[in-house]
Amino acid sequence: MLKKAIALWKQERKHKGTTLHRRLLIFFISVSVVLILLFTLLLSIFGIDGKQEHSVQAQLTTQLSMLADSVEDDFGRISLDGIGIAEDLAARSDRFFSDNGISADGLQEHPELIEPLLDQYMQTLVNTVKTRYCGGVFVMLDASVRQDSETAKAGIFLKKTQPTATENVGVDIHCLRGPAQLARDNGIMLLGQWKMEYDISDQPFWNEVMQTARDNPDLPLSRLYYWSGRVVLKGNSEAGFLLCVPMISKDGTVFGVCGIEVSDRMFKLLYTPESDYFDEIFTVAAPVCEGGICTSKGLLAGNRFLSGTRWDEDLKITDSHDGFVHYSGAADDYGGKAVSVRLYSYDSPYKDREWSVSLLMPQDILHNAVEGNRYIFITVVIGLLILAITASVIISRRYIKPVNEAFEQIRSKGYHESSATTRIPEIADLFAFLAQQDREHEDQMQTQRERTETLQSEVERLHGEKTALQSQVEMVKTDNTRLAYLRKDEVDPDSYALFLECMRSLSKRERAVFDLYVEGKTAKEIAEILGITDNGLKYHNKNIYSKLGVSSRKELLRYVAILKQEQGGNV
Amino acid sequence: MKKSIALILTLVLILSVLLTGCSSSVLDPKNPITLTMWHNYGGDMQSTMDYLIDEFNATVGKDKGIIINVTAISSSSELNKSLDMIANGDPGAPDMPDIFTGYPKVAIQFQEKGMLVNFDDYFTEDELSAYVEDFVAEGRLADGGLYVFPIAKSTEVLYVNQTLFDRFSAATGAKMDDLATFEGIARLSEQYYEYSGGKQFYAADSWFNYAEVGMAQLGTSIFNGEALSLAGDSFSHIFNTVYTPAVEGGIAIYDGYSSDLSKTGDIVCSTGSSAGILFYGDTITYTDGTVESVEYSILPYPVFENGSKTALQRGGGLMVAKGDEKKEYAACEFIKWLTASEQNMKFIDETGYLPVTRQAFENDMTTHLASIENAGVKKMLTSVLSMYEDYTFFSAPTYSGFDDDCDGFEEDFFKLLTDERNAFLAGETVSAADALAKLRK
Repeated sequence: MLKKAIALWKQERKHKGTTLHRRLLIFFISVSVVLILLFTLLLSIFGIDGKQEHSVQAQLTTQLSMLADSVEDDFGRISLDGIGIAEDLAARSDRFFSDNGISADGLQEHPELIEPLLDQYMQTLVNTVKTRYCGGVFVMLDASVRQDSETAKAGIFLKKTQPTATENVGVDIHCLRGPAQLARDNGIMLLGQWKMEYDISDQPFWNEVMQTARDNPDLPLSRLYYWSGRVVLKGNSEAGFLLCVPMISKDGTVFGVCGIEVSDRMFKLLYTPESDYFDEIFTVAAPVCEGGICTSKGLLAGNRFLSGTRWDEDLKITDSHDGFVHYSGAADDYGGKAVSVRLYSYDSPYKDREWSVSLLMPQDILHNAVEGNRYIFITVVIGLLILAITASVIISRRYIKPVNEAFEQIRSKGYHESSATTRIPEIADLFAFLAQQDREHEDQMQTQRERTETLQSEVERLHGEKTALQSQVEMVKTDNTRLAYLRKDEVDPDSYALFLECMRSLSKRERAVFDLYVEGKTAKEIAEILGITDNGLKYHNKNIYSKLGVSSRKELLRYVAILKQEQGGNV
Repeated sequence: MKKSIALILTLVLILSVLLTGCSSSVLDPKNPITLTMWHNYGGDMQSTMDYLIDEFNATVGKDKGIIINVTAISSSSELNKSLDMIANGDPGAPDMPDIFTGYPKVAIQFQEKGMLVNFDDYFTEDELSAYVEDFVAEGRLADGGLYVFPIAKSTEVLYVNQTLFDRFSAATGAKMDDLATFEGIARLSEQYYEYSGGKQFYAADSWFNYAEVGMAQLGTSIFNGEALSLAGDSFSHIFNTVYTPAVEGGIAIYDGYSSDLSKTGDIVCSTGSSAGILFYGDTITYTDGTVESVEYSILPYPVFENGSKTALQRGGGLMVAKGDEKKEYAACEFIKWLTASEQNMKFIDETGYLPVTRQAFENDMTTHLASIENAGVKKMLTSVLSMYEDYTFFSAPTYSGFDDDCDGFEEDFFKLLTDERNAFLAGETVSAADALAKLRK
């Protein structure tokens, strides 16, 4: 159907040709479209195509680099602080053990000494929690006031409500774990979730830290600290990473763990990424697990995520070929950038525990960010094309309009020099030229008309002459008739009868000559008509005269005139 | 052609004027506005508030272009310290949050400096009529404007460790009825001190509230204009009621929340905010590590003998910093969502606060009680609802010196009773009349 229509259109165009307007329109459109496409191509070559991939890559890389550096620096500083606390508490413990005549591993047999020992720690812990960015500080002893539970561990956990406050004003400390009286004596209120002792039944970090320290007695604390993944202490409502440092007495006994908490809110306050460009971007710090990151053990920081504890799924890497890392979770997919951070020394027993910091956002937001203004760019190009085509249509129409009007004026002969209002010199010249042509043509026509009139008067004159001549002929004929009658009277009837009788004796040739004489032809004309010589004619004349009994041509013609008169002109 | 161009230009002009005019109030979901928030719903209440804010950010906030970013969760007193610094323009003061929780007494200093949004500008009368009238009235300051928007309310109740009381009652014949009056509590306190070998029986979270409500119960007021008045027989009676048991040891003078003492079994009963239910727990931990399961009863706020049944209506509200109109508008949109019946009921389910919308407070609460899972919250709300049937509720006045007066009284009272107790323990002679005279000075 379409082919037929195209074929028909081609045939029609071939037949009729392409109008000037259409030719102009095609020209304009072709030029503008080619220019726009070339411009677009040029922009694309220089990377100006609305796509923000490089910009997004750069922004994420820069921001991630800063965040990862911060995490590495802050966690490193906290690790050093934790080691300092462990050394300080261990020294205080050694003195306490010595003063009370017990060894570190004998504490469990003296539960009445636990609270006094913890009291020794209080000042260090309070100072640390007040002066450091942290969610809290803690100490756990491998002992309990309870003799009936192996999972109960005595200790202290002080929480700070504003993790990033380091001034005295606005720093409230609460006791999450520890002897209540000890807290009250130090003016520290108990949290709603307060318990006197820890329950380590589902806190694997305890055994891991204690056992590793026991297995590596020669390693210093700087190689024995450990960062737990996200931990929520039993009954607590807030999660956090715990820096755990073993407490080792001078006799080498590992008798507890102390450390610093990076709480969920502290992480959020410190590591929420700038969201000027991506409002759902968030930071994840988490241990690396096979094929992805253990976000269930990580902390999140972002404006849309108040609490990372609600995220219990791990993320698996699905793709990382386009410069971004793409993860899939149970419910959503995410994309962004990730980088490894080093939390341990190369010779630490935990050196293989890899951690990463990622800057992620929902996959569709990343996609939109990468595509950036590409759709706008394409829309602008399409818009320009439409504008160019529209402009071509309008301009070509406006351009061709005076030409068409000129044609129309020419067709209707409505032009004259003063009618060229288009201000187009070519058309004005054309009109002047045509007007000149018209004038010349008019002059020729006038001459022709004059000649025609002359010829007509000549014809009329000739016609008059003809009429006059015809009347003269008629008069002559009348005279002839009258003469014939007169001559008939003058001719001897017998000679005339003989003449008539003898006409039958004429030969064929002689009869032809005779008939020509009757028609009024001259001798010369007769000779020419019959193709005979003068002598031949004379011979025939002699025979004719002889046979008809006439003596001269004059006599012959007289008999012929009478004959014609009698026969109505027909012999 | 010219007409068409003129028409298009006119339309473009009108649209641009309209859009410019509306830009201050219309939020753009593609460019969300982030509001910082401080609140005091910590501890067990934090997860509920976190949940609600996460839900807002993921739903309504996402649709409207509002992100709530909580930058501080702390106790009321701690927040007050920081807010004081901001209001006074102290060096090193943190940036003022866009939304924060607090009491009217905190709001006054901000309102006087023109730093707070008047919610009347963003809520219609119809919208405000959906909230309990008294709760809204509490947030209106001197100029009549609404500056503290009610989010959840509470009153004061008597928490009784029923397990300990039953043990005490079985041994001494103490009656629960005595817990209905402060005089009865004072008597039981002395009795318990003897019975337990030196343990306290009762503690109050706020001695100022005790005195303030006591005066109201006795038909007078602790306020004389914008100052405290400790004169008169009523105050003497209120003071004398607790003086002797406090000095002799039956009543705890403790500079902290009485729930701390309850957790370790150091008291049997205490008066405190009904919203404090989550802090009591259901166990006692003794110093030897022994943990005992206990049961709490929630009783109506005690009344002085011959006094009227009056209790304090308390609970802060939300305030919004004045500034960018878009932020003010966005903050009010968040508050409308947060205080809507559905969210409000979710909040009270988990925290024990009272809802603030009339629909929730007057209709939904009674039927909703059965579905509340937290036994403590359920018990507390039952008791509070019964109080709303026959108690008169008293709201603290709001004037600029109120906070100082309140803190001053609390400090003086605590110090006086502590000193008297120490003097008593040292064998010195102490006298209620002398002590009262000291306090009145």
